[in-house]
Amino acid sequence: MSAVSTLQGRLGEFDEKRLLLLAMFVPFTLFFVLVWGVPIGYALGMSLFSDPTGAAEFAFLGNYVDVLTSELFGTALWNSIVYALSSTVLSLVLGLGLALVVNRKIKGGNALRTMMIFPYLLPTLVVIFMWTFLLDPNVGAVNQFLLDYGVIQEPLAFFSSTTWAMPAAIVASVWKYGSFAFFILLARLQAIDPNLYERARVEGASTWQAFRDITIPNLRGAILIIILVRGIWMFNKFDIIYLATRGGPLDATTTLPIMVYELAFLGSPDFGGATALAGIMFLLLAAVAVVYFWAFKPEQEVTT
Amino acid sequence: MAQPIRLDDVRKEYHTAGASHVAVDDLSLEIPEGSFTTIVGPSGCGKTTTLRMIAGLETPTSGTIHFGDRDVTDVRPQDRNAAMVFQSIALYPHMTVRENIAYGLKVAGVPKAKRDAAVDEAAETLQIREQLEKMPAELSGGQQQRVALGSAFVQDPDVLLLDEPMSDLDAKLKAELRVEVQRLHKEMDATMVYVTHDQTEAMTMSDHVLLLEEGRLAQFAPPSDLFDRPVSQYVAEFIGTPSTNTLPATVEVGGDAPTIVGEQFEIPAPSDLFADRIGDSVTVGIRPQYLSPDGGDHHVRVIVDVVEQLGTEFVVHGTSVDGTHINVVDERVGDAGPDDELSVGFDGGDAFVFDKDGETICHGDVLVAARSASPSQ
Repeated sequence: MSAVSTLQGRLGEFDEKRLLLLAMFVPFTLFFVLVWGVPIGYALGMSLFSDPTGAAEFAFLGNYVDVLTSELFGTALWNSIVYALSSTVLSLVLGLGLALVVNRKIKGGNALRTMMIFPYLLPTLVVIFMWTFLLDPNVGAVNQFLLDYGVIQEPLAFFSSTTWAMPAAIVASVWKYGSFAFFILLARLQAIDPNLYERARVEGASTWQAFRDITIPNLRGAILIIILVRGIWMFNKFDIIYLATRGGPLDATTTLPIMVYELAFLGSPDFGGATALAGIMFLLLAAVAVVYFWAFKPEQEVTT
Repeated sequence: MAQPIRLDDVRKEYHTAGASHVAVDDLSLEIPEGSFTTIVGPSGCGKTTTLRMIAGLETPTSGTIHFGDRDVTDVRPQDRNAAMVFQSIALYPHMTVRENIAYGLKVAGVPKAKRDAAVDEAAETLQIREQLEKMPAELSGGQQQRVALGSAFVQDPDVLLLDEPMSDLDAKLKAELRVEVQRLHKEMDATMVYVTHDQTEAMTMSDHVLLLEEGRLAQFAPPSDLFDRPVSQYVAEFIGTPSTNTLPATVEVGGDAPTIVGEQFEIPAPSDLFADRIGDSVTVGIRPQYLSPDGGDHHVRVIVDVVEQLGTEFVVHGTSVDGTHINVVDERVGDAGPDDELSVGFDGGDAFVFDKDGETICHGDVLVAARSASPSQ
């Protein structure tokens, strides 16, 4: 009798648990399928048709071949890589430097930490307005500063120069997104037992040796995740570049997302090409991410 | 080479938002070379600050610290040839046990083969050979502590500093590691300074005990001196468990010599020390271990509150008739129950007498001498 009741009790418990699991799981699965799965599938489907929104005709990989062989693709891919890599690496370096400074508990460290969140909170439009103003050849403070100190002889129109448009876009992006790395790295730094540094000092380690042997290994996982996540975000970043330069001048800042936009909405709309290019970007990033995880194992954290 | 450590008027002040706090107050002493010295005291008495100043992790506000003849007051911790074991153990979490132990040697530029040999030797001594390739997180608390000791051991320091290394361990492990630490001290040529708040650790392990009171030196002496010849009521009460019983008394004229008169006892006192204290209130200190139910020249009646058994001994927590809290440790008081009245006695030779500021006026040996000299007895 007691055995039966125990069994029933267990079954009842099991059912309750399963019910709870389902109640948690099903809505989110539905949501995910509707909001992510369907549009992605739909877009990938579209990429297999020529003129998918009008007289759709199955073209299989025709759109992919067209996009990959187009003149712009190489330039846009290169621009994307340059933009994503440099803005990620620079914001990592900047974020790490500032995090190390704030972690030293210097005077004004708290104020600096609070200020660091502001660029992240500002709308991209405002950030770009600010930077176009700062970099303006006629009224911009940066040109004024460079002229006063004799670095340049003529004012530079940063966002309209094929040489300087990309660096200017990168600087604006680092300014806006550098705090992402800063906050993650600061949190990680604050989690390191300060006694480790004291022990290292007593054991004879120099500041540099302590940084190399304690700080870097403890930050490794965070740095690798920042590079991956920030890199993917910057690779897909559209707004900040488009608002600053519209991909110009002469395609100097046309990255892959901007090329997708141009294919889809400029001139004669080519949704087939645009969705095919989006598919190519997705596959590229997925491949890079898989290789990255395999090579660096960023999920391995230092266990404390 | 073990070095003596000399502190001269060492003072450390902390300033926070206008308020200044003196952590260590003009401390002067010399820790003999190769000795095992324990710094003990209640929380916030400045013992860890003192240790950190010896390590170089804190700079004294004033005063000097010497290792032997060398003034190290402003020398960086890297250049002091000291090793330190921290309360938090502080193993590098991302290094194996072997790398942890060898780290000090690695930054000193010792070649790998020599490092490995040193680590193997240390691991043998500390019985952690099996753990060498593991990560610190995989070890038990006791093993982690052994690794920390090992990393100090391989550096062959002149001065080995330990900051409450066992405060997080259970009693059995503590006892085990106490032996380990003392064995290590015998094998090493280093002056060892050990900080603890646990006076049992201090009394059992060390050659010298430095007891601090609010940043000041209360007494610096071998453990037996702190137990038998405390310089103040503070020392007598801090050292020893249970704490020393303190009985209020007054110095009165008794016959031809002054007498210390308590609620239930009268102790003849030497004239040279007590003649000008007539009428003063004093405190008589007597250790619970020196109170016994049958012996003694002087007697105190105690109402029993609680009896605890400690192996073969019993501890009676009680109250005397005038309300003073009194503890008795003896093998023969186990039969006592709550509210029983117990008469316990002590010899004058075991008592301490403190003045009203808590300074020791005399120890028991002086009282005994006074009594034998007194013609009325």
